[in-house]
Amino acid sequence: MDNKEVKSAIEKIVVPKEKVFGAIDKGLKMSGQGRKIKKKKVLAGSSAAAALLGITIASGFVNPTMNKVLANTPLIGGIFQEFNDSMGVELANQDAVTELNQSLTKNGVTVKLTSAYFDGNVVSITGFVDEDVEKGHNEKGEVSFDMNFEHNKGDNDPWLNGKSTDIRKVKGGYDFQWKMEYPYKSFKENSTLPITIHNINGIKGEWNFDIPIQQEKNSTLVIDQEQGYPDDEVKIRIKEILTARASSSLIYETVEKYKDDEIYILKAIDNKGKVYRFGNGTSLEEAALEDGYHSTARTKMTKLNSNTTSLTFYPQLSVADPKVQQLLDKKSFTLKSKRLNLGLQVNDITKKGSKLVIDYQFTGLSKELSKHQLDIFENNLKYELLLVDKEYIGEIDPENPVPPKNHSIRMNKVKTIDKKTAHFQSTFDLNGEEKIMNFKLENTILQFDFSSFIPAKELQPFTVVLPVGNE
Amino acid sequence: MEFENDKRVKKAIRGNKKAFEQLIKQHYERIYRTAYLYVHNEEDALDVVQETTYQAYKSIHSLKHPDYFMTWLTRIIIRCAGHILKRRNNIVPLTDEVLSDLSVTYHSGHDEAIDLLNAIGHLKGNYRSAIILFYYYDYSIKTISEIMEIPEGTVKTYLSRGKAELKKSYKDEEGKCNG
Repeated sequence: MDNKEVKSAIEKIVVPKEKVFGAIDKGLKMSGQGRKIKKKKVLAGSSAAAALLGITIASGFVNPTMNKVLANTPLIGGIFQEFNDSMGVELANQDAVTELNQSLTKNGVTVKLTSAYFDGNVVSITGFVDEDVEKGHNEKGEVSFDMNFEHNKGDNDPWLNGKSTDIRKVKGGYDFQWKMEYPYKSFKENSTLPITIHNINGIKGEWNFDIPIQQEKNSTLVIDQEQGYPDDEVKIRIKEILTARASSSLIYETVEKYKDDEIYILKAIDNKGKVYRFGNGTSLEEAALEDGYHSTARTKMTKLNSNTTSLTFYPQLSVADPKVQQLLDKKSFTLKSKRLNLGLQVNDITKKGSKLVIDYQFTGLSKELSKHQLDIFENNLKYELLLVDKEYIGEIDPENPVPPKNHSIRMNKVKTIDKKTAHFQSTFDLNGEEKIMNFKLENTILQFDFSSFIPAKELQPFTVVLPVGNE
Repeated sequence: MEFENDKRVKKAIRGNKKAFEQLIKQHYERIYRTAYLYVHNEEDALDVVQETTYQAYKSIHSLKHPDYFMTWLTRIIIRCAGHILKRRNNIVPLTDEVLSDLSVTYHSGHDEAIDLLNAIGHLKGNYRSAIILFYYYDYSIKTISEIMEIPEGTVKTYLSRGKAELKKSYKDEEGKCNG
């Protein structure tokens, strides 16, 4: 047994890329939105079986359905198989991938673009960069592109939202695939996409390309049906479904009273029982109107069957409860959630040397915390109590709430005092890595976010009837 | 000269969500595989990925040195995987019956890679972490000791015991397969 053996064994674990990216996106959303508590399956037997069988399944090397499809795929399909991109394989079969042969060498590094497709709202570009890129500053096996599209500058580039890069080591260099979400509202039938790679692994370019992207087949199904949820003060309007060769995309609008609420469409099921999945979505328009915050998004969805007559959507709402806070000039008080029937009752605050201990309990919980909930509380409380110097609380940007350095403490140790009464104690280290300069209890604010302690709510599914004759 | 990745890590530390997302997505295979080595099924591994992303984003502002991004992230992955394992142990009774039922399918794979993964999966928590970090990540003993927050000597012990156990069970598996 040696390194290579272990490594190659581990690398045989098949990575379900789309799902992993989905999980990453969910994780990011949890942080933007407060935390959602996932429903946990408690099927003990099956999960044990899965634990043991997983490894056998994982050794499938290459997805078998993919192999089958590939048997009669043109050569270009190979690169999509490499990246586990079933959509690319399908498009290659339909001869709908543009083959490219553009190559540029700058500072000894050659970049070659090999293919492009544009289907639904997905734009993919594949290419190859030779191994001279290893002379750059990254760890071996890493290739990182600093790039922009359409001559945009830095992060101010709509193509970078949701862009993903995948890399595979091949003979003489690396294959890569970039996948972008088409950022604009309307599609142009034929256009080109200028690409500027500023540097790769720190090696300066620039490598400039201009590649054709085209989408010939794209049919629109106008639906325009609205579903309201008066209790939750949100509305969803399903506007259109666009269907391309290998994928569809859904355009929908949400109207929310609270700007930070987020609605996700978990899935849809058609009249034949087929399940449709959705991507992350690109925001197309946002507006604050009298009846609430409107936002229109387009998201990738499983290709719509042409004979579908109705679709049932399963939406989920993640409630954003405004943060609450209290100046610590008294030892006991209660913080009340604005939208939920929950409270945080602070019983006592004591300073022992360099430690600050806050003793508190939750009120308004409908029943005693389950073991799983308790785990979540113990975990989330480590992050959700924030101490901030009152002089600096105004510096926290609500759009991007990063606590001010040297003037706030978030990390704390949580101890459960009594599970039955949801009674906890948090200990903050005033001389730890995070600190508040010139700490004075009476100048410190405790900020708390209840959003993290309530699960996302599954809204009542609703069905829309599709216009007949959809193609 | 500033490294490309360094720049991105620095951006992420300052709270740039896009930079953070790019970083995580850049390492998605490693994150997933590491998670998988602990939890051994896709659903839980995806949970670990989600949780890791969340925890990492919440605390990246406290990361002092951009160079340590990967080791810091690895520590979070291991911790999140540990949480899920702990939770699962509370609800999943692994009876001998279940195990013997499964062992047929389990050993029918002749591939050595499966046996090896299998053997890693059966290691004790700390041995497993040490083995994964050493062989898969190529980390030095010193780095592993920092990630696992244990002395270097202990890392060495874990590694040698882990290796010994691996050899033992790996050999056993091979024996079973061939015989």
